[in-house]
Amino acid sequence: MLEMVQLASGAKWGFLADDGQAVSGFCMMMIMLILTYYVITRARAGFPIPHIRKIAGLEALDEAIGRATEMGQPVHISSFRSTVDQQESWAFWVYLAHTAKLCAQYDTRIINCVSDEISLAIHEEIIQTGYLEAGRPDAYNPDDVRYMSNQQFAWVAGVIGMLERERPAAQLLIGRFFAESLVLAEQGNLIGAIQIAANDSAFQLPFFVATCDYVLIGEELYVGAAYISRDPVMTGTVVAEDMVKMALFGVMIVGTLLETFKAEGADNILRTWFNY
Amino acid sequence: MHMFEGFLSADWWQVWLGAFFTLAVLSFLYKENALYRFAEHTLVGGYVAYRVVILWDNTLIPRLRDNMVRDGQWIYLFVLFVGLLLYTRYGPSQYAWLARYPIALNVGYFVGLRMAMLPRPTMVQITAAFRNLWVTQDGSFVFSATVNEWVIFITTLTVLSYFMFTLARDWRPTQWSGRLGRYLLMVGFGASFGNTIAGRITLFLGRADFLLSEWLKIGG
Repeated sequence: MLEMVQLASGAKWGFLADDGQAVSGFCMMMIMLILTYYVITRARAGFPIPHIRKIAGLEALDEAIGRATEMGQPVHISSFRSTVDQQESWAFWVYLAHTAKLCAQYDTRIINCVSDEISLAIHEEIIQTGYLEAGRPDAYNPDDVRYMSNQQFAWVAGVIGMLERERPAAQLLIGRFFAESLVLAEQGNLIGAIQIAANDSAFQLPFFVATCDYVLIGEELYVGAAYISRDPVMTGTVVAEDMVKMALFGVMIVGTLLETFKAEGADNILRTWFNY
Repeated sequence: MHMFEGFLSADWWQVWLGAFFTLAVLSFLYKENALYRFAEHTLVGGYVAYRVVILWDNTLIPRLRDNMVRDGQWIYLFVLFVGLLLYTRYGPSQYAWLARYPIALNVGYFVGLRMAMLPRPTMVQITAAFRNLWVTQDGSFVFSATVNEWVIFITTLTVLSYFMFTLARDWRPTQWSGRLGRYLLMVGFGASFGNTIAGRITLFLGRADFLLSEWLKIGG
């Protein structure tokens, strides 16, 4: 009976699935799209847009690579789950490009351990491009971009073995990590590498905070990518996102006031809208 | 019962190999050594081989045998062709750029998928942040539940303000709000750290129990 009622109700607005938050989610996506397009267009046209504040971990990125250069040791940069379907991977590519270019300029080896076959091709391409941009294409060593395994603990066993043998002076753990985070960061700590982590998992961040020198927390991972790339598209996206966050800040306060002062058994109108 | 019971049987091999690799990995705690390196390379190599077998069995063979030959879905030939373009990177350099097409298709597909799928969970989180700051039950005020609601409400707002990257920090309220948000994040991280460490100790105890009771047959 319930199934028949659901079938009869059809799609919301004629084209959205008849699920909770389908319309509100669609509206939110459209607002974000329009706002992002507007801010990006402004940034590209040279009009002023709000500045992104400095993030301490990003300032340390160049310092870490500089330290590795002085010590004559390599830089290790990796993201465990770097598959192409993850937004963390898209941000990681910006860090990889930046680090590869700096390493090429300073004549420092860069080691990248990969857990996905398709990402291997992307990472090789990004690092090679970094060396090309730095004007040192001959210095690029494809053997330093290594496929370990797609299985978490096989990957981390390979990486910590590499860390112990090659002793990089700087370790950048940026992107998606799971239970291997503490093993990796602890090993980096043992070999005395300066460590910078960027992660958006509430479960893994505590380990990075405890073991790394600098940590980019949560969304700082994505904002950092925009900050170092100076790309108007990425910067515009961060600014637009901030505008939406400010609006939602107000929505949460109004929603909470309505929830607190509503009559017993009455609906919170804002909740009803957001659930539609 | 002793540790050589069932000598050379399948169960015996399983337990002894498990014990050998456990000890080989734990030997890393002393220093990097040949035993650890052997375990590391076995694990990495084994999983790469396993991955190849899985891809062959679960992806290539079903697509070729079932979808194309049996069901006549020859569109998969196009997919195969696009996939094979990835290998142009290893051929003559003038064709290497072709490898970017399958990558671009992959990334483009997932960007679209994320855009379509992400707003809904966000909506759920927003409505979950609407808190009742004066909790009553059967007409009487409930203090502990009200405190919980206030903690959730203040934490949500201050942590959100910490993640506003274009907000001017020279104004006192935004400065304090961001700082409080950061402190509350650290409190949360501390609790999560302790909780997970307890879980890791349980994992270690599991391995120690395996070595003692299944391998050395002590206790159990």
